Amino acid sequence: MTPAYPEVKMSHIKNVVKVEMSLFNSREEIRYYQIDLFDLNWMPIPFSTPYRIMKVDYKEHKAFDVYIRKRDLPEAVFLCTTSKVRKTNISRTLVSSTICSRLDGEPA
Amino acid sequence: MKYSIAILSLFAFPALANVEITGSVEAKCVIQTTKAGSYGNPIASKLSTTPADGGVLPVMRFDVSIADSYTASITHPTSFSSSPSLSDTLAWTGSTSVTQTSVSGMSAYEAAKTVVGSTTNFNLTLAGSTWFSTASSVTYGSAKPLPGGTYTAVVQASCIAK
Repeated sequence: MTPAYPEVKMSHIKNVVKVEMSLFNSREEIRYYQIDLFDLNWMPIPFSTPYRIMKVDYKEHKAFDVYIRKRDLPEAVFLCTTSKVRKTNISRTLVSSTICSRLDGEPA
Repeated sequence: MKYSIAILSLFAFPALANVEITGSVEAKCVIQTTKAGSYGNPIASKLSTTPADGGVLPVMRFDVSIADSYTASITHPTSFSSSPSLSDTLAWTGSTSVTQTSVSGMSAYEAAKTVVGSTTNFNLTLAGSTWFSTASSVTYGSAKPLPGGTYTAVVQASCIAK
């Protein structure tokens, strides 16, 4: 998921800001990704996006916008996408991957 | 007609245009599953991904484009995501290690890793690819045989911007 340090922009809705993100699916066995927003202590922060769980085919790029209330923005830190793994009928370990960007700026 | 051809020939220069190709390199982390893990069943009460136990270690590759921008956090399973009905306790163990690197300096990741509970953290200080493998093992009850069926557990691999 990119960018790692997204720019927060004004949206067309009053008191709501927007973050423009892009996701690339490099995992052949994965088709769905979930979007989450957390504070510094990994507590969930409310947000809105067209699809909370979105379908991204293998090797496909998908752009998506995340809308956050201005009053929640100071607390919002980690914007993450997590792959959704499928149930299987063989005994195995599955790998769920999470990529998190930071909304509180680039590291010093 | 002669005049028309002469005039047209004056404008018959090849059309030239410069087409730019632009690109940018930005901080980016990509996680790929290099090898799917599977559980071996060396004794009736145990499942393990260790090759000596008949299992296969899951291997994940982290590709980082800019140095020192991400932390890798890998959590080994502490429960089954799906299994037959189990009536007794499960004792889980696990660990995560660096198995391969694209840059020699990354070999220091293994010594510098930190472990908090079931999560192992690696500071990805160099750009390039790092392969991690996660061992997972579980023993059922007081050496009770595990019921027949399919057992699935999830390794959580995270790449978090610093």
